Amino acid sequence: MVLMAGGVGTGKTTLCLEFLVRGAEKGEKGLFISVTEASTKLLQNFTTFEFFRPDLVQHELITIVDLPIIYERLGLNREELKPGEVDILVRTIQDLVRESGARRVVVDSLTSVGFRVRSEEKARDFILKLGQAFSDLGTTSLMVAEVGAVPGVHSLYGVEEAIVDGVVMLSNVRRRGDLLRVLQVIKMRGTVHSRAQYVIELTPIGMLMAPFLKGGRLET
Amino acid sequence: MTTSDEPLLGIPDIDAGLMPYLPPGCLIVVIGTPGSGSHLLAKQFAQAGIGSTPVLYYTTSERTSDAQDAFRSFHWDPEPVKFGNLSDDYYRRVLEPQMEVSRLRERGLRLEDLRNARRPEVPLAPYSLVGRFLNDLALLDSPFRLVLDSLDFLLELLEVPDVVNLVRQIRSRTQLVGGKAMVTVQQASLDNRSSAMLEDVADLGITLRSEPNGATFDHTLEVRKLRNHPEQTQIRKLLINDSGFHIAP
Repeated sequence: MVLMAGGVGTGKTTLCLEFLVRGAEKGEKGLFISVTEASTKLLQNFTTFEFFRPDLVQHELITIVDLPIIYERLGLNREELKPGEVDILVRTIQDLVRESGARRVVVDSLTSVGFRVRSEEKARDFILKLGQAFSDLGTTSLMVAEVGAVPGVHSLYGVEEAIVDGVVMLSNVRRRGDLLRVLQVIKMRGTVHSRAQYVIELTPIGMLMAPFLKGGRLET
Repeated sequence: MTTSDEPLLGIPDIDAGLMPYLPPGCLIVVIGTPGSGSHLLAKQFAQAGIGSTPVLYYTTSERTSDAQDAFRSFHWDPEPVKFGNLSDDYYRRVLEPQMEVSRLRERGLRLEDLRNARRPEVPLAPYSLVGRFLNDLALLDSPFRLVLDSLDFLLELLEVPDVVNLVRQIRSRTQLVGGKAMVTVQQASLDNRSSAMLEDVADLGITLRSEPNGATFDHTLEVRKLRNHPEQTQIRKLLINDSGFHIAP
């Protein structure tokens, strides 16, 4: 389970979509659990990317589900989930992953789910159980987390980054009037990885990545 | 004092004695024991207003069709009466979705359950039985006759002060636009304090009793309270025939 942490407009959702598309092209089914955006609107947005093929959804290689509909169907639509309801939610997500045959899962966003979980203790419980469920199913999952531009902070509750296997930080960096999207792998358990920053470009054909050259003056 | 010839309860002998002392807008609280006929008295009161004012009959304890059949069985025409069924409404809006939630939680949600489903478009607010009733009440802007039969269902769901507050709102509306309202409740649903609170709101407080007498039951109607006219309190023995309650000779 990997945390895709970043602020607004850093490309978290697009990156997650490409993660699913690249998997589907190799025959790995994907499940996109959307919390903030309606699936219909997401699909409309996705069609602007050349790398996204609507037939992947039509042939159920990628399945998009709306978490608010799950909340409603399961009577989880009160402001704060009770501990037992957290279990119901995790079990339901697990069931849907199993039924869809997904090997890759995206939850966009964990932060929005967190608004229903609220306490740090329950958030930890939810993420731990969800991580366990995904691990049992043998899936690779990306959890989107909305975080501000505070250096060193990669999660909302301060617990997600400790629980997940990996943390990828996306941020906006201003340089010479441009707003650059920057990606940095903060943590990837069990691997040796670069911790350098990379500039990413979200293009219609997918994400392009280049080393973040240190020359030039950064604007804050 | 009432200026209308419109019957009060539809029991002429009792109406004649009480009507001169009731204001045009008044609230009647009927407290009944099981089998004493509070549902019947509610219907008799409703039918007594037909032809004079709009009549609204809210039931919480029977199907609307059963209530309408009961009207017909006493030769009262239910057609002019506007029926509201709060228990059906509650079932449809609250209990049925809860049952579906239980079913889905037990069975587990499937992708099929999510396909073609739409996101909730508005924030989901819990259904309010009282809100739904008060909305109807607020729309009454001319003299009316209203029955709420009974409060027992509301007392199961709400706190007593909330139910009493609802009854106060009914009374307030009757006073504002001129109307007669009757609420019924089973005695067993009330403790002494709740009973006192309801009777305090009432302009006319009636208790119906059914007491065994050999192989049958004696029905009595007690006028326990007539606001500002304690001399009018009385106990009358009732008989029931195919036109409802009437006073025993």
